[in-house]
Amino acid sequence: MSALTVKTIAFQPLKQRLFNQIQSSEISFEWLTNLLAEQTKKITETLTPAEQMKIKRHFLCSTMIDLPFTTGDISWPKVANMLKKQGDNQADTFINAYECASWGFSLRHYLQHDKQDSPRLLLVSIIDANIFDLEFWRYNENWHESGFGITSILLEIDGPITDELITQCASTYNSMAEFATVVRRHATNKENTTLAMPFFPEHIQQMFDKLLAKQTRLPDLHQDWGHCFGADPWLSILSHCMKNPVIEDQQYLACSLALNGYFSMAQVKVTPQTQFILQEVKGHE
Amino acid sequence: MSNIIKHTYLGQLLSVPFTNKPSAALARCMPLSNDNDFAVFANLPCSDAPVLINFIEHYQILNELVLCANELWQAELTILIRISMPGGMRLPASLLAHNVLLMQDIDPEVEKLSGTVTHLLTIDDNFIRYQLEQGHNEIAINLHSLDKNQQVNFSKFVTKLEHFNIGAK
Repeated sequence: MSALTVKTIAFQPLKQRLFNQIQSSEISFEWLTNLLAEQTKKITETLTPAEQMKIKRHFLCSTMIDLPFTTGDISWPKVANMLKKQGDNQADTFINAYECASWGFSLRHYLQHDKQDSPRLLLVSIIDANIFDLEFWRYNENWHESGFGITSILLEIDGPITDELITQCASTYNSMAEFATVVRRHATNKENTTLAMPFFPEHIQQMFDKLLAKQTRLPDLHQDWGHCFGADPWLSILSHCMKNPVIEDQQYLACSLALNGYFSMAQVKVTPQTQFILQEVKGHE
Repeated sequence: MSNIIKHTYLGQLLSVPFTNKPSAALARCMPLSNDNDFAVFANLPCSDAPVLINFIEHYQILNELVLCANELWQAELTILIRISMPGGMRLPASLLAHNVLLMQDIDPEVEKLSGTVTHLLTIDDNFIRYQLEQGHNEIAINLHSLDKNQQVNFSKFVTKLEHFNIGAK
């Protein structure tokens, strides 16, 4: 059994267009940080004070929202301050480099420096929001329709981590097939583990059908949600478990692949106590 | 925390980093498709600093710096690197290694890690790779070490910067 337990997955869907007209970066981030903070509060308010004390870190992952930072239109200290005002356990570190695989690299970094033995909690949030309503993010030939949202995962670490987490990079430029092969190799030794894969258009699903024919996979929800970047495996688990309530512990391998070939895979346990929060869609249209 | 020894260096990219080597025109811009895309990009701030470096060269410098640091501090080294996205291409393997974390702003992580790891090296550059990036082609290197005998290694490390036409400010 994995030493990584999913305590909560929350998903706040966002519309393609966030505002009726393009807003400044500052206004956009006020809006987004409010939603993120609300989501964090929804997750933490169900915890006891003792459990809340166990939350050691909160990483925010996103490559999509990095453009206003890159151009100097907004800075992380400003955004971090917007979050800080919202109370405890808000995100305070922004990981921008690893695209859809950023959640796994954040987790790896935390585990690298984590010296505790007692159970502890970690929050990872993923924001995919098309702040400037750019066509590139609406639809892209690599993944077709995009899906946008704010996702937060509360994980408990309650033992030594051995091979639960894989972070690596493709060595070829056919990263999709290489990714599927690495997933297959990793899943082979894991009994009763269901794959939660990224959502892709049909031609890529067909490749997974062939390369992962012997593995159990959750359904691809590209038709329902579009490609939701690093959130896909978590949305996949959330959607499945909301339809099929969890009555005993289950094992999933959450898998993400980034455009530039970075992979993250985490074997996680979902229990009957795991909370799933699907929020109402926000945004303009 | 008083036992942390901090070594600092502030440098400036003075000209192109690889003199007499041709440099590919890799300045990238997201494809712009409709009126909104053009209007958004027309309103984004842009830098007035010269573009002296492309993505490949930037990653090459970071790669060489990380490899050099790994040689100098072979045990218990953690490296934090500021980076801007989109990056346009795959990052070199050294930057994806276990002892490296890439992020938009390294300060929150420095606060958390300084004094908890033996050697914490930070590389914080604002080399602009295309005109929409902000910065003045500066680089700040810091070492937070629990070992007080690291001046020689730190000097060796910053000497490496001269190879890329980076001079002390």
